[in-house]
Amino acid sequence: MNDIKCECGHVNPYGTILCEKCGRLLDETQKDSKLIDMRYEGGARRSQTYNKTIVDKIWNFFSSVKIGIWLIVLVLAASAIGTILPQEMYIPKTMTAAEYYEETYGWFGKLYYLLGFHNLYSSWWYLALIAFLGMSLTIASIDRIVPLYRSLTKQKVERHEGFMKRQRIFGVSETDQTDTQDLKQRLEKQRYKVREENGSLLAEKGRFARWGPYVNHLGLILFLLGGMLRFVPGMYVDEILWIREGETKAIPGTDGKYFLKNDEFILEVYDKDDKDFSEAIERTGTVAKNYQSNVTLYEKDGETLPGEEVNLKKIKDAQIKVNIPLKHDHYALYQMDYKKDELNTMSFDLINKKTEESFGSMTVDLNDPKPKYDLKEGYSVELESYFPDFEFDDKGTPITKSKIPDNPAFVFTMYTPDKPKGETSFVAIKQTLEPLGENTYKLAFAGIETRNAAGLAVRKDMTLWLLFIGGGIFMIGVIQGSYWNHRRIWIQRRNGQMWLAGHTNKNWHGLKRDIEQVIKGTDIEEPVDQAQDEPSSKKGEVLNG
Amino acid sequence: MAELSSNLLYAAFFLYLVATVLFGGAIKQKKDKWKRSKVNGHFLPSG
Amino acid sequence: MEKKQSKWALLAIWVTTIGFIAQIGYFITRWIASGHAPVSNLFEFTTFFGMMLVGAFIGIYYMYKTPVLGVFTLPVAILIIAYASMFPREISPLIPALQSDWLHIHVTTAAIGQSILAVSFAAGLIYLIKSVDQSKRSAKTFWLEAIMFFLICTVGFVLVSSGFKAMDYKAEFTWVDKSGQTAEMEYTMPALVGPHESKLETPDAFKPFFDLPPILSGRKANTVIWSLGAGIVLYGIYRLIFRKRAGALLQPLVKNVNLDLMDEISYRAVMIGFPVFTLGALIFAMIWAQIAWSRFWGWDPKEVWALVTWLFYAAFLHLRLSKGWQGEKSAWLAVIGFGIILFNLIVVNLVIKGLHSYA
Repeated sequence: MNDIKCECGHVNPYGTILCEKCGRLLDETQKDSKLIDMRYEGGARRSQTYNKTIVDKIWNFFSSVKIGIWLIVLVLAASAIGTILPQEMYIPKTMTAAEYYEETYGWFGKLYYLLGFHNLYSSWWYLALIAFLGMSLTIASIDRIVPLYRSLTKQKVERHEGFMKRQRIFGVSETDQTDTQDLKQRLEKQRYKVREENGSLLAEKGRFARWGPYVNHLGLILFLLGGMLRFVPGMYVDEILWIREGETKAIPGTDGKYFLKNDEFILEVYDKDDKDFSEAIERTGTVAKNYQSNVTLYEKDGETLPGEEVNLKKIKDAQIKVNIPLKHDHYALYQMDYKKDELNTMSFDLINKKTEESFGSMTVDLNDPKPKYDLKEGYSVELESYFPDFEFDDKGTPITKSKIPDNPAFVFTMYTPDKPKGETSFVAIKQTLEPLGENTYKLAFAGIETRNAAGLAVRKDMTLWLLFIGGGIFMIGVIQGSYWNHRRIWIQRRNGQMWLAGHTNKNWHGLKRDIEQVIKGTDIEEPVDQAQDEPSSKKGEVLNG
Repeated sequence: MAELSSNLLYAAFFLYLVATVLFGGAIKQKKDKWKRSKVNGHFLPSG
Repeated sequence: MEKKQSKWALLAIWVTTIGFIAQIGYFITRWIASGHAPVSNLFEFTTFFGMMLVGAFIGIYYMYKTPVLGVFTLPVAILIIAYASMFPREISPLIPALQSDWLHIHVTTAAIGQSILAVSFAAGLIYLIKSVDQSKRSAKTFWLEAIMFFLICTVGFVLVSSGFKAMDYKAEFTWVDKSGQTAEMEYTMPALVGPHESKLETPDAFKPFFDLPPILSGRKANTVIWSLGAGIVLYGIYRLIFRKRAGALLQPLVKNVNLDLMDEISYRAVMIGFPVFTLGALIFAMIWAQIAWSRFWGWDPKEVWALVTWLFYAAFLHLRLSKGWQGEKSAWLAVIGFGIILFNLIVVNLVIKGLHSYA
């Protein structure tokens, strides 16, 4: 690769289009174009100069903005496809995903499921697309930032004729009388930084806007790294803790270090007679006002062996509400769900079916039933089987759907002085079966007690700081690049004429206004916008439109 | 308060309608009025 | 810098500003009445979006002094506010998930970002109306006309909804939902299509021609059909009277427009709106989601569509900066971008159910 020596004597790296110093067009193929491409200031990029090894090829692939745009479009399309039907995490857990998609959405749902779109955002190919996008961001930025930096720091004030002529804003004034010192002061008044060489001026402002895209890309890269950090063990905890009123449980994900007691769960609704909201409540029905768990947080005190009772040290009482999580030691507990009036205990009386005489009553803790209940002397009840959430399966055998006592059923054996071998009874809500023949005694339902349960999410996320920094840097970069513009004005004296050229990376309107202010009342004529594609649009019409 | 609020919204809606018509009137104006305007047109080729 | 404006334009921008102030008055008084920022349901959010579109227009107008932008932006804002008013307007209480200052911060910033981006649509539309050749039929004239037709359908929706509302039309149905449960549904427009296995409970009400499968909401589909129908009728009448495309009818209105200036306004609006949108719809959204839902990102449909919108405008900016997609191509992209924003507002809120749906 040969370096290119410009007429001005500056040696440019291979691939340079515009001389880094004087701006002369080095690429002969662009000689005929009316305007020059000012991207990266015409500097040479690595991706344009090397294409030999496999590393070069990968580098060149990812450095292409075209590839970057394609990746953006692919991620966009894939993301949109994932919202056509709900993702697996949002479907009811009552049946398998395969059944759910087909039953609910027919052949389309089946296809959606078979293509794996029900878990699209964690699919290997979606993650691969994101990874490619990350590589594209990194490589394309590095590929461009170096030549841009070189070009911007090496700029000469006096530029080549072709460079001036090919700027979008360009004008020649037939005057030699203009005082450049006056122009310089006017430019400085417009907050331009002005450099002067041999009577030529280069006025520049907002150069730092040019770094905006690179800063925001850096922010995005950090954000993506933050997303990857989650997969490092110990960085991320995501558990659900169901805890009933009165219960004390170890908080999952904390390795038994922390315990939580649910003192009370509160559900409040808006008063339907509230004068401001009555109309809305009437239309939509009850509206919840507050979900709140009053809890006590404990820490394990001292070391304990497995099976040994743990000593708990109280840390604090707290109220967990939606939008107000409980935070402690990088952990956070969120109010996510609740269950109102979950069955807690069930009471029965042992009675003689004929005489209805009672021989004692018993209370079964539905979450921790005892194997045997002793009643009056000579009377006892044994619990043979317990189905917290009972139903009959296909063969008619009783089974339980879950451990949550939503529909408890029991098989009891009742021992009485006159039936020492016991009588077996199957007891469920609103039904009693006597599978082994007619009984003399029965367990009559005597009442239930309920309590509330809170569903809390347990989170620890040690990746948030990096995401926050990444997001912050992205915002800084995107504002830097969007709300500031890099404007340059070149003014030169050539053969008794004054030449003026202007360039900005965006907001030409603003640049034009600046130039207008600078040349007002001087001999310099208004320059022309050479990109104006319509020679027919004349003065003044602009405002009309 | 709620009633005042909705009346203000109606007022705004009506004013936007009026403004649309007025803007329409503004672009229908003859262009000589604009000849001496200072915006932007200066940079167009004068041919 | 002193700029001369015509008296008409000066008056117009004053009226716009007074209207904007009146709407801010609406916003503040409603805030006082409800005790929370009025951005908590579809009516309030959409109205706010319309208001900020006017605000964004006023801002851009002071930069460029282009009355024609008002001729196109204000009707869009008017349509948005009219559309919003078709949803229940009563003041509603905040559910626990919305009881956070982040409601105000996230929702308002996101809406402001979207409304600035919407100005780029208006400028892009003006560009297209001027630049698309109406002398012969082409794909461009078709799609431009499709945009016009969509706007007319929105008018149709507003007319039909308010018409039946004025008549207080109601029809009760019982129907079978996708989990096989019997449910009730109330129509406020005559049912052309009914919900799945529907039974009309209101005597004398119009009987639907056929029932829909259970995954489609009968009432919403019916509303869409009515709006499309009204749009077709309105557009048909228009074509009978004027005998040319709406794009062609509007073309003389923009004949003095400087295309380059419109291109710049459109691009500038994206440049101003994109950072605001990112901040509101992604960054503030993530902060709030972390506080309320315990995770900053959960692939909820609305989150995904905020990402889709963001990616689209990111692609737009890259195409413009690196591939030189300026002028007409850029104008089409501005139109598509606004289409995505409307998709967020209409389809994602009403059809794709997620944690956000507050319709």
